[in-house]
Amino acid sequence: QSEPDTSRWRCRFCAFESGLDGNLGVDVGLVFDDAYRFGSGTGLEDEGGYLNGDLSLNWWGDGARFYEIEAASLGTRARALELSGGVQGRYQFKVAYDEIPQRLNDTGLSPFVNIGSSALSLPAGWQPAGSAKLMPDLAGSLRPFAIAQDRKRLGFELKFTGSQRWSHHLSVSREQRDGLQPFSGSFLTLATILPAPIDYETDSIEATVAYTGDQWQANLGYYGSFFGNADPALTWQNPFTPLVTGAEQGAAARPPDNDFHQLSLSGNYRLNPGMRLVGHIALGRASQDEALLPYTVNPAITPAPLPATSANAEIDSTLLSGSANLSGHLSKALRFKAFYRRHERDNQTPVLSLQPINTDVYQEAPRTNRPFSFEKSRYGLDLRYRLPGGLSASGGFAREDYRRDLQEVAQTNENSFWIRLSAPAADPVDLSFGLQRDNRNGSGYRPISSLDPPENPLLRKFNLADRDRHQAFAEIGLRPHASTSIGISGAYAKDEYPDSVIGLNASEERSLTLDATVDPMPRLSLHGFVTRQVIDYAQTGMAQTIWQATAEDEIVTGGFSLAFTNEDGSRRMGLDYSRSDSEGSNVIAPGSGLVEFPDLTADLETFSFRIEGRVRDNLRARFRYRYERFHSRDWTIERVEPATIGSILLFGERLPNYTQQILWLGLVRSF
Amino acid sequence: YAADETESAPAYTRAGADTCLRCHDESSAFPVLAIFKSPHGRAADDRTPFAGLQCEACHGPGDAHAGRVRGDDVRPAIPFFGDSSPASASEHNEVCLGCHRQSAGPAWPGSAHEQNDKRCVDCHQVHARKDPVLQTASQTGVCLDCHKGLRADLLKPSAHPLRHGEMACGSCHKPHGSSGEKLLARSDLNQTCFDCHADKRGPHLWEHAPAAEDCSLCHLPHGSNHPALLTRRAPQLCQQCHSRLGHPAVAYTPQGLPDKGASAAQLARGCVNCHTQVHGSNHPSGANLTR
Repeated sequence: QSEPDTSRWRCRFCAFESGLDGNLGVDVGLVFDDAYRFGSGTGLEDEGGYLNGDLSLNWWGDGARFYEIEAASLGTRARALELSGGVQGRYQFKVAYDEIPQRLNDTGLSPFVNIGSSALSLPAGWQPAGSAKLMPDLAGSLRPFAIAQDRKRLGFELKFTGSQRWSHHLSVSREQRDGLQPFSGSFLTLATILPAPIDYETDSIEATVAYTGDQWQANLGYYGSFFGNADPALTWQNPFTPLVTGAEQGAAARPPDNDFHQLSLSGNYRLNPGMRLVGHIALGRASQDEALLPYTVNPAITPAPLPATSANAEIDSTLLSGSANLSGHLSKALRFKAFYRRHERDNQTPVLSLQPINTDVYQEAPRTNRPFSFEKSRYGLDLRYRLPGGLSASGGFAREDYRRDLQEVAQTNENSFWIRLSAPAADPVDLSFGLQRDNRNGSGYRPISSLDPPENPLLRKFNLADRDRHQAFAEIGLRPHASTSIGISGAYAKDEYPDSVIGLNASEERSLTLDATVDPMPRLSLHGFVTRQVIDYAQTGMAQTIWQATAEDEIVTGGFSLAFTNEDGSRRMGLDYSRSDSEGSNVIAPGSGLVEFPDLTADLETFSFRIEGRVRDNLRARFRYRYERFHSRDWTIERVEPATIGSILLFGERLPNYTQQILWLGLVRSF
Repeated sequence: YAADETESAPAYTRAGADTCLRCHDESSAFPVLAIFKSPHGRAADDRTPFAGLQCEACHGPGDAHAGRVRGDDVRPAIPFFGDSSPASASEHNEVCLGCHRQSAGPAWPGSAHEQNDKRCVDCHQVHARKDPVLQTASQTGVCLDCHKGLRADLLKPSAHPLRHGEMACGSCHKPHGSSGEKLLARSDLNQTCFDCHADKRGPHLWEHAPAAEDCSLCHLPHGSNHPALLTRRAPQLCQQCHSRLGHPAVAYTPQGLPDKGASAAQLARGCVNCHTQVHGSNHPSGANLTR
């Protein structure tokens, strides 16, 4: 094709931007109630007034120089701020900061006086007892705290685009996590749920050099992740009467500082217009040498010396993958992909002969740690053939070989077959239908002999057991009118474990989704959806006799949204409604007859409305309203007080149910 | 023959973007002017369309499309990125990859979206000031346009904070292809999870093998009816793999609820009430995952 004559191309109507462009929004808000769980992801758990702001500004100068600021939720603990700039096509930088709050429950109670510390102490003069129900000081000592954490992440990125062929990218970040999480401190048969501090810091660095040639491209990268925990141990004062002399205090290990390094090389090569080879290799190493804690802090027990000062744990990982992708070779309508993937986890952690002290109470028989390694390889073929009329048929085969050491099954092999038919271009109806069958067999199940007492020999762990898996899906897309689309999709999956007398016997998942979008007039859009999902499990166990249990989760979710903009764009409005009702049932047959647990339920209902209108050329006013209700029933929490289980001192938290409303009123200045 | 070929080749417009913008202004069915607020509209960057063939750099020669149409004749389609453009998905994508092959990355050929004939513009909005799929707060909505069944997962009682825009699908997945399965961002599922949950990485002295092998054996990352994204509640979750003589083998019934037996294995955190180190322990006495 000849070069066009562009001598008369003036681009007079091209509205090139320069200078400042964007929006600055400021809102005042009213949060109607205290609703702790609502603060997850929003930072708005407390009742009261808020001043909030968001910002989206671009500045474009000569020579493609630019600066951008994006900011959201500046007045809350879910704030995010990003500053970027550079010269487009040459280099750009980005500095980003964001916070993510997680708020689980603020009704937990604990008698420890220094919550937040990694050495938890009881009130002075605490009188222990053999049961939480009998602790005389408990009721008067309980103090509230919140199970929550905040993530704060600061990142910096730099990208150089030296030419169409080379680019260099560097990103570094630091994430801090602070908060409290439940942690169990046990002494054999007695335990205390502890508010364990979270004081983590993770640094990450990622550097990539990419080259793009005429026939090939390649990325060479390094990724490093460095985790640090300010509290590698948690100690606590035992509120129970010690089971043995000296067990007045316990100590447990918390997550160790660790490093991960990975080098990777990815590339593809175009042999000819219809054939590309893609390959990837990654070599990684995770390690930690956190100093081991003593076997026990019980001064009445004299443990054997530790065989090492640290676990000196190290895991090498190797990933090798590749695929050959062909199209139009044997036939113009045929596309072909052959793939291979191998992932190895090689655990180099030394095997130590250890003489554990069980929960600071008694000397156990010597044990050795069992560094777990595996090697997983998967290979197969995918074929796709285009049929006349826009139809396409595809199918494939894959085999996965999984080798594990120190596990009950040394090797499993899984064969998978799938087919799919689709008519993506047959307007106004799109159809897709697919089936998949997987069959996994193991090399023989041999229970681990070193366990005392041993696992039931009839048990088959579900990730190692022989398994038949059936999957199917169907999707129908209807477009009865240019402005209307309707989608109906269903999926089914069933796993069966034919040789698992004890353990998970079967699981099944069914889902059906209806989704519709209608644009009845220009600038008005409506969308609605409803999904019903059911997940079933069936398992057996064995005490004196075999028992059976089934569980079912049914989740029905639906919602609709509306968005409207008037003709000149001076007014916009929108609303969203969604509701999710979850119900979980558990039935157990402990030998004779069926016994049903109360249902676990969780209903979430949300509604939001927003309207925005122009006040002046560069000023808009906006109003937003949000309603959200969460209501759950959960027998693992309801009516469970700190001393309900005598042998375990609990938090006794309440259900985190809430109803929340928020009003925002604000102005948006355009630049 | 050469002359015939030249004659049959589609022609470019006479005035470039000025031809296009006579019709495609902000009042048209396809308003396009926001492209001048986007990186594509920077003529000073000589890689961009407006440093070259302007609209036709991406849409292809448009003279036939822009020409006069008589009577009931149908206006010829623009070669690329029009509602009735005849080009295939891969032909469309080659237009984008002509400039963006580097950012698509080497794993695009043969990746799930490429294999399923997804076009770049099925996810990306080229004419928007900010492409929604590149913004954390709006990205998830773009993905859910196709992955409709996952919308329900985000509203489940336990879910990552995607519905608040604090995370996005791209926090864990690479839509242009990756070395991991399911388009995961890292080379395997656990490494992907450790990006944010590095405290679970260990490597621990005492490992819990399923946790070291595959987080999804116990967790449903897209959302769950149970706390901490677990597939089920303890003790039955744990009893899928543990049936040792003693308390792991017991048939726990509603007799363990508060007004009856108040079972330590059922209430609150179930088995984790004692075996708290389910992701592994680094304590020399942590073999039972209690230290």
